[in-house]
Amino acid sequence: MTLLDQYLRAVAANLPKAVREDIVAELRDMILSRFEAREEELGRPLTEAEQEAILHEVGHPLSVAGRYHTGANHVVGPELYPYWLFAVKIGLAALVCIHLLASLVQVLVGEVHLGQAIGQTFANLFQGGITLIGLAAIGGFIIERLPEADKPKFLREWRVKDLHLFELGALDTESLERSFKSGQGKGQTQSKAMTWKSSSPTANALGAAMGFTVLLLWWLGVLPIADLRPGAGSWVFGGTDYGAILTGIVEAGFWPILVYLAVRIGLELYRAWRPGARRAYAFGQLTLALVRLGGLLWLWSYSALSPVIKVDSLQTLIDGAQRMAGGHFSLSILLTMIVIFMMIETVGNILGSAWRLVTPARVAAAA
Amino acid sequence: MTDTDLFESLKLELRRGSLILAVMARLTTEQYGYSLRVALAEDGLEMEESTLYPLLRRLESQGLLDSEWREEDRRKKRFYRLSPAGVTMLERLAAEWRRISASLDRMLPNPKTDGEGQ
Repeated sequence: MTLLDQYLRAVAANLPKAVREDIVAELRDMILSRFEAREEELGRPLTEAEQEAILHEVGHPLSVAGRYHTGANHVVGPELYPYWLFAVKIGLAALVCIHLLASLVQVLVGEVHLGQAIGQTFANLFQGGITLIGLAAIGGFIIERLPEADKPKFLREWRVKDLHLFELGALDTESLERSFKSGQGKGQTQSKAMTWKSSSPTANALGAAMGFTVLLLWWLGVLPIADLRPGAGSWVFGGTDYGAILTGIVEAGFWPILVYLAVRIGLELYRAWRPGARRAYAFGQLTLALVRLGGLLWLWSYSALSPVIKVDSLQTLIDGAQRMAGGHFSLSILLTMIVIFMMIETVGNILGSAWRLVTPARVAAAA
Repeated sequence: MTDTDLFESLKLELRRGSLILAVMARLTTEQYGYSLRVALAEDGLEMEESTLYPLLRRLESQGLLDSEWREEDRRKKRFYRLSPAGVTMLERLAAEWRRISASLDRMLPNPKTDGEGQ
């Protein structure tokens, strides 16, 4: 086998099958023409070293074959990269916050010592960060290879009033404050009154889908934020074994919650894809809210947490809240209040979704 | 980055867009890959094979070139030529090139007149 054959075989191995033979035949002719031209200059046949020098000039087989590639030639291209980087920055920032919070809780309930918590946080942050960047890269890789018509609309269609979301990319307190607080205060003009609620349905849906994806990944154990099944005796607080309770709840509710989160992400992506399908989204939201209410009622009445959070009367709850206000912290009362607030919010969500389902869309106030 | 490196990098960017026009202009007469490269080099536009050959394929897939395999000098070679769509596209691109060139001529300092003024 000649040097040229060896070179062309390496190129051919990295070319698409359909065009391989054609491209290799053309490259062979081109390289042989260069050999002949050089031989004519020198007046003698080329040595192997001289042939190799010409092949070096033509380029490395991987790079030569790569130039014939017709699709996207990068994992995340220059158009998508700023969005990719923004999503990664926000994801990493959220990861840091969740880890710090989880570690704080673990230290407070006495599951780990401060030193252990710090070490554990760094290790988990590293692993979670790498996973997040890897998943974002896979997402970018897929988007780059979608046909132009199927690429996400946010790459081209955006509204100025959604842009405050991107100020978060600066990751400084001033921009965070601006992003969250813009629009507060009655005296402000309409142009300044930009709240999260005023974002377009697409921006809201994409944000929600991103949040629920992080939650789903944590639930699946892909993001090692905090152990979902800490086991009996690991989180004992005020004489109650919360470790055993959490483990029991997770084991009973793992699959239903997994399906709920997956459906919720699907619904949010549907809203981003079809922002005008208001009633279909309201129907989806109503169904999910009913499921959520069912889950909360189960938590209240039948789950392992029920004996801790269930109160017999409103008076018991008010008394507990007053004791807490007086400085006597009770995790069980706090959890009771959280579950009750979640139920109220869910009922509100059911009523709101039902209202949106039966009423026609409002004309934008600004119109 | 030194001034020379910066100049070379900017020159490369400047040349990139004009190479397609040069290749299309040269393919008003039939050429095979190697002869086209030599012809471009003789006109002062050196082009690497790894850039030229994929470009020829891309232009062909876009319907701007026609090609056929023929034997010449005891070897099969692929000959390229502008397709009718390529001829029309070349005319449009050439007009655009002249428009850009005229605009730049008006904007860029003229070494002769600027030199006289000093």
